[in-house]
Amino acid sequence: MRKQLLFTLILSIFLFSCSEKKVPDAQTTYTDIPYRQDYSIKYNVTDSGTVLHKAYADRNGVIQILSSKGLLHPFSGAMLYPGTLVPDDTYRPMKDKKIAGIRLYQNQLVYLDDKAVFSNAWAGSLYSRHGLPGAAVFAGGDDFAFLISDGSSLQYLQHSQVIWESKSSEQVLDIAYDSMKSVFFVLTPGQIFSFSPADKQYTPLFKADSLICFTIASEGKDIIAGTHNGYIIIDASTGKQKGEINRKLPWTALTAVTEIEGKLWFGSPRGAFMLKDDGKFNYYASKRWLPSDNVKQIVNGGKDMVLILTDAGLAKICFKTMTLEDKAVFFDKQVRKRHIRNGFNATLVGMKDGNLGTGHMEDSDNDGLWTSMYLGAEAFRYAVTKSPEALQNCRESLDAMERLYSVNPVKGFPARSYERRGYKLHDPEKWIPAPDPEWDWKSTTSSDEAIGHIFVFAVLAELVDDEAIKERSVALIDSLMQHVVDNDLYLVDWDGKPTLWGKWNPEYVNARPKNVGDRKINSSNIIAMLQTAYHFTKKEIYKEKAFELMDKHGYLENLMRPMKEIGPAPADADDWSKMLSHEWNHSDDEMYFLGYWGLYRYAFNDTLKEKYKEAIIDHWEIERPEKEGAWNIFTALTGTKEFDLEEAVWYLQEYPLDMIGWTVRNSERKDIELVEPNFRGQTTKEVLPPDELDISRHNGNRFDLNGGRNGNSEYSAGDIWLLPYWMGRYLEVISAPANKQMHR
Amino acid sequence: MKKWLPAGIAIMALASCLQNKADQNQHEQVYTDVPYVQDYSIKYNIADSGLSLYKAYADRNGVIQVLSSKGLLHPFYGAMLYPGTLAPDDTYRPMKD
Repeated sequence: MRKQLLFTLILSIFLFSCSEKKVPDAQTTYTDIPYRQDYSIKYNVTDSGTVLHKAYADRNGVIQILSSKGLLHPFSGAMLYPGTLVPDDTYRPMKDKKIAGIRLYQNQLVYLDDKAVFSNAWAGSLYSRHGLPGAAVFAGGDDFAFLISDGSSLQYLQHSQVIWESKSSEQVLDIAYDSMKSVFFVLTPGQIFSFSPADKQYTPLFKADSLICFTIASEGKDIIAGTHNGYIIIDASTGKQKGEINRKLPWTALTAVTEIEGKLWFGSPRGAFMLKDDGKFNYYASKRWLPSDNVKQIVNGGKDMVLILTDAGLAKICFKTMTLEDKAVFFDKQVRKRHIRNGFNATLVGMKDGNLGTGHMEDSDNDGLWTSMYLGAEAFRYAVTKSPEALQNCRESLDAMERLYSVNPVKGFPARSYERRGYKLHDPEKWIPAPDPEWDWKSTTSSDEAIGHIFVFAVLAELVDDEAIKERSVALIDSLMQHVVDNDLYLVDWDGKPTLWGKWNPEYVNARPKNVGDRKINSSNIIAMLQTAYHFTKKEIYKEKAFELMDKHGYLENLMRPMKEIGPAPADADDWSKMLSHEWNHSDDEMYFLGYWGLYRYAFNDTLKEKYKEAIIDHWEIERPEKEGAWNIFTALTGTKEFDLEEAVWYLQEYPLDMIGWTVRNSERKDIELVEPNFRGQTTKEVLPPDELDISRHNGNRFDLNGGRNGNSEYSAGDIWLLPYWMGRYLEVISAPANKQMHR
Repeated sequence: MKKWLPAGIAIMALASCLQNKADQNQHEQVYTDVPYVQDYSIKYNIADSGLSLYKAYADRNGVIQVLSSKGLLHPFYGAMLYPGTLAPDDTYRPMKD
């Protein structure tokens, strides 16, 4: 009875919430269910002379690291705020022991020194004496029996009795115990031996070259052995190798291997990696994840945590269950606390090694563009949630955008940026003193800025139910577009000359060969801009201009040109066209997709709307390999059923929480399939996930394998993440968190 | 339809109350563990003892700035039991001058 009631209740609420939906039933929606988000907490060694040997976490989450300077433990530390490894003096006697080995036994920390195997667990009762003063390697079997080695000899002991001992012809590197079969395995560089405590048999099991590390896996069925070049799977019962040596790894020289919750983890001098069910790897390298790429050991850190010990410190790789909305909340704080410069969405630069206490917010050539993308995100957020904070964020960033027009004396012309006098960071020659002596403004505003402005003013005017915001947004659209129309479709700077990129006049646009991208992008953008201006102002001039461009100057043909025809200018083209088209322009992608908002939504008529949709889908098709979250979500605005929603969600989930520009290197990985150099700059057959690549904005090439600058900057999530997420929420292709929907 | 929701919840709540009643009878009083406000502190120390601290404010974004004899400072890291520090706030470059 109770169950039935509950079921009906849930069903009714579900139906009720469905009936409220306004968007096309043809499009699928991603239900925002919790997923596992990984992030890292790093602990650095403070003294570079310290050599780290092994780390373990006990059942209480107490972590100890055995080092050349004794036992250490992690101190403080949080994501983005590395802690340190400091001497662990919690048990005073440990300082005076010559501890050579540390291990986990029954989830408790156990030590090996020159006299005994011992522990502080079990009320201190474990103290099993041995006869190998140089012992450093050991593993525990049943009932507090241990097999220990000093590298050349082995002893099997229990309760201070040496039950068996033997010499080893090869150096003993490691020992493991399989509790299912009650057998020890001993690793040497050339062989793996098995030792059965029951009959005291020490038997060679497997022979190979250059064995480095090993682990028991698959519930005792397999032994995984890491070598200097790949790993081998060995049948633990027969000692037979299963299949070929595996070398399709991010890095093949292995230093560590372990199995955690059924997943194999490998360490190498170039980071750590986990084998996924699909045969590919999650790659954890760079300071985004590790204090150093030189991995020494990987071990289970307890629930939802993996410990990776490197030569420079320890990383806790944490797996947190969260929803995309949780991630949006996290990123909202990141933006509001560290990335708002006078209302602009700014990058924190000049940081020292990723230290968030250092650095300053930079002025950018594209302050208007980056801010338009963040402001768009906040507008979508407000449209969906009616959050007063989102509305206030909109107001503050709109203030910043609006001031780009009033800080300079040119009518309808937006500055690129502004800053207090004397503090410009980049391109000093482009800065002009403002009429207000406290300020300078940056000239040479580009078409990137213009399309960003028009996109976001339209979003605000259409979606934000605040009269003042609407009015200001429409006024700004009108102001900019009137400037463009008055100036013969050019953006004209303070010196009376068109800016380098602000050119939509046919004389310039159609001077480019048909297959040069600039001819298409400028046509696509100006039609979108004029349509938007007409939509909100109903001034005929904007409509007339747009149709003039389409009917008399071929702009419709230009913007409809299939992307597969876009390429390098022909040999007889002008130098400028050749320069523009030497490779695919990913900034153009950003301009196109921002422009598609106005191109599609404010189409003059349904015939055009259908055509625009065709152009947008054609563009999306060529972008698909990049799995660019924003472009997939933008494509959804056409109502198309197929827009790679799954890949968009993958992008949003895989984007790292740490948005510091750490240096990453993927080009030498052995698990990627490189493709021939090509116009689009696609380097690999399949794109790598965002948490393995350099942090890049939407104008970056997602196929760039290397990048970053030693953590000298932190990017804002405002444009990179919040825009696609909140746009997805607005378009209802991403749902509110599943548990929240039930209660709305 | 919408009105039906509170009624449903009320019935469920009642049903679950009745079920637990038997166990509770053996105690005269049971404290129902309702949320309360627990206070704790996150401390941020000045790294330089020659520094005088004047005023601190937090804006609507939670950005905290401290005016000191050495200019603007902001808290760096810090968690309960793990004090952070007050570091120079250089986020807006012109503020230094």
